[in-house]
Amino acid sequence: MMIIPNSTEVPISEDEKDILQEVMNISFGQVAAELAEIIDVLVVLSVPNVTVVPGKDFQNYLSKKLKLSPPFNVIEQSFSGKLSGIAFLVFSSESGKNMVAILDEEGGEDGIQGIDQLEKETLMEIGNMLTGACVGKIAEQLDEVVYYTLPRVILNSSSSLIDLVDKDSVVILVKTEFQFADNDVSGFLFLITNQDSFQWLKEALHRYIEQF
Amino acid sequence: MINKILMVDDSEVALKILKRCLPTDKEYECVTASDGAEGVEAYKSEKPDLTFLDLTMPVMDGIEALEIIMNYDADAMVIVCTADSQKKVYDKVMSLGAFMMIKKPPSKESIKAAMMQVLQRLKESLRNNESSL
Repeated sequence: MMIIPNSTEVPISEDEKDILQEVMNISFGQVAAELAEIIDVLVVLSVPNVTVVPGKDFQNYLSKKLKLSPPFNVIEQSFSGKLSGIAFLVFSSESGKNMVAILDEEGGEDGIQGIDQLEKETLMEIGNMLTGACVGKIAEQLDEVVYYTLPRVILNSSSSLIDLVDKDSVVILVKTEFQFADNDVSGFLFLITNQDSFQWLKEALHRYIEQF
Repeated sequence: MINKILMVDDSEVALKILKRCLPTDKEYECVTASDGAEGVEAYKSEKPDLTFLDLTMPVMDGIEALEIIMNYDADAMVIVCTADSQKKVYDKVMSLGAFMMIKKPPSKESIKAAMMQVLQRLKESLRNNESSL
C-alpha cells in the first residue's frame, strides 16, 4: 500500500485518499442541490481537492501552499461522535460579501441589522450547510452520526488559524470553489481531527468501498 | 444489446464503484476516461452502446462533454451519474439529450434498473428502424 510522500507523518494510502475524495465529492454534490433549493440559482461546485497534513505542518502549508493570508472570514464548528474534531470554513472577506449579495437580493435588511451582522448570519448559514454537508454526509455515507455545536463566525480575522490547531492533530483540507449564479465564491474547509478519529475514518473508508 | 460501456469520471474510486455495480449476468467491455475531453475522444473512437458520465470533472465538465457527444451522435445513450441532483442541472442534462440521470453513489439496483430502461429503449429503436425499412 503506497503512502503519500508529502505527508509522511500522516499515514494515509493513495487508495484511502481516493475514497475520501470521492466521498467528499458526493457530499458536496448533495449540498449543492440543497443550497440551490434555498437560493434558487444554479450552484456549481468545483471538484473538491483533498489533502491531509499533520497539525505541526499546518502553518507552513497555509502560507506556502495555499498562500492564504488575512483578513479572511472563519466559520468554526465543532463536531463529535466517532468522527470528531473542529471544522473551519475559511472565505476571503470579498467572497463573504459576494455571498451576502447573492442571498440578500431583496435588500433592505442592511439598514436595520448592519452589513456585518447580515454577513455574519449569511456566513453562519452557509457555513452550517457546508460543514454539515461535508462532515455530516461523510458520516452518513460511512454509516455513522455526528453531533455539532453552534457555528461561530469570525469576520475579517487577522489572527493566525494555526493557534487553533493542535500540533498532534490531523488536518484534512478540502479546497473547493463555489459558483453561485455568476458570482465566484471560493473557500477552504479544514477538518481538524485527532489521531483516533482519523484512524476510525480510514477504517470506515475501507468499509465504505467494500459494500459495493 | 449493451456490450461496450464507456465510463467517464475523474475519480478512480467512482469508476471502481460503478464497475462493481454493473449486473453480473454477462461480461461487459468497459472503457474508462478521466475527464470530459477524454470522454468525448473515447466516445468517438470506441462507439460505446452506453455511456455513464460524471458532471463535476476537471479539464472539461460533464455538461460540455454531453453536449459534444449528443451533437456528434444524436442516438448516444448517456446516463449522467452525479451527486448533484439540482433540478436546474437535471433540466439541463435532459435538454441536452441525456437518457437519464442517476444519483451518486450508485447501487447495484439503480444501475440494473437504468440499464433495463436503456435496453428497452434500444429495442424500441430497433423495432422502429426495422418497420421503417
